[in-house]
Amino acid sequence: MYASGRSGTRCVRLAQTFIRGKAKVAMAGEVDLSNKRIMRKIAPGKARPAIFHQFETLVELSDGSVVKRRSQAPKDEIRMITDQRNHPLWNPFRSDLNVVDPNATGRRSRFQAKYAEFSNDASAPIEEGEPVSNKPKASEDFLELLGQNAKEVQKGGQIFNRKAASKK
Amino acid sequence: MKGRILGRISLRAYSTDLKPVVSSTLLISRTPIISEELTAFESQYYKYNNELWKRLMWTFPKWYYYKDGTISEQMFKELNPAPVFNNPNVDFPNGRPEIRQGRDRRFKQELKLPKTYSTEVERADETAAESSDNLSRKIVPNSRITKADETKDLTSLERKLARTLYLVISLDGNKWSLPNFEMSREEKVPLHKLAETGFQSIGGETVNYYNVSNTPCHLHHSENKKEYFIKSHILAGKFAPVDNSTKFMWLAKEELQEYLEGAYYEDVKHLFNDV
Repeated sequence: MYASGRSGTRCVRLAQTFIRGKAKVAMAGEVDLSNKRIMRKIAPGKARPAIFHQFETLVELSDGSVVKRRSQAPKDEIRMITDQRNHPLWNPFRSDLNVVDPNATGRRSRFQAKYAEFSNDASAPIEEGEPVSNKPKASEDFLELLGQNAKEVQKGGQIFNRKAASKK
Repeated sequence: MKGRILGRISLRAYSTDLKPVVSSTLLISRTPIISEELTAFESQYYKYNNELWKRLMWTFPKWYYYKDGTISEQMFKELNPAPVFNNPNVDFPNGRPEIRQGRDRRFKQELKLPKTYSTEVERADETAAESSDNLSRKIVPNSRITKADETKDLTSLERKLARTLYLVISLDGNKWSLPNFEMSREEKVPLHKLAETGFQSIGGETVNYYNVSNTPCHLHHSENKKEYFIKSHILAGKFAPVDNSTKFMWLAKEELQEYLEGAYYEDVKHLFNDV
């Protein structure tokens, strides 16, 4: 009973607003815009464009030419060692650039240089008689390194396998 | 209407009597290396905008670039001491300071940065060779005027760095012209090939160039001659004439006017860059 009474009052209120709205709107289908303006105060110091502090930086390129530019970093002079003036990517016709590998700067290249002999290259010829699927798994590989009598130890919990569980 | 068409046909019939000599002219240019020279008004305009930009810039976030208690922060602090704070017990006749984040907001923020090179006099006695090897030496912008400009060497590619230069050659030392190569009557080659091979034959063997288009950009008519213009840019290398009697120059637009024939220049001047 209580619930039905509540819904009854809501209906009345809705009807009232509808009538009030109808009284205001002159034509059918017209949009009733609120006459309330959204007032937003512009605080002092906020009415300025978002310009980060920038320094005028002189950049010396590897060939000695100097360029002036703006930069946010607090440096007014930058000297480039490798840039578009001595990089083979930008200078394909220059033969005097003896850069070994233009990409040999990151962690990946360092890793590759260190473990080059362990890498099984895709370019290395695959023996014909041996199918690819017969390759030992990574864990077996490690066991081989340890020796003949080594046995794998279960470390940590086993991960729940839904498929395996359902087969049981 | 009919008469006009007939007239045109008869004209064509006359012109096909004598086959015109087709030639290809190479308009090889050296593009500007540095930015354009500004006029007085332009430089004032840029200066005004630059100053306005500096005034509107936010406060430098010192805490972001310099961690508290580091040496670099100490060096920065020494160079940029804190401004006079708004002391309520002091009268400021020229306006009270408005300090936010260690900066007086009434003015633009001007900061000094620690240098990588030592500014003391002890460095003065260092030789030039040593200082050029020093990686922490001061960066000084190069002069816009080169040695070739000072000696007025017109054959140098390093003159007038802010302008576009065009190659002109002279076979006899008196009459100057753009490098022009005539098509032989027997063997027909494409116009751009004619210009390129011709340029290489007179001394452009070591020049690395970029041919803008195989289509000519202009046709110059003179009596029984058709001169097509092929545009190209020099990227690297030097023009070194094979024949010692061949003279050459790299000239800007207004200099070309002096050396080229008047009527010819009037016909082709729109091809040259004003910058």
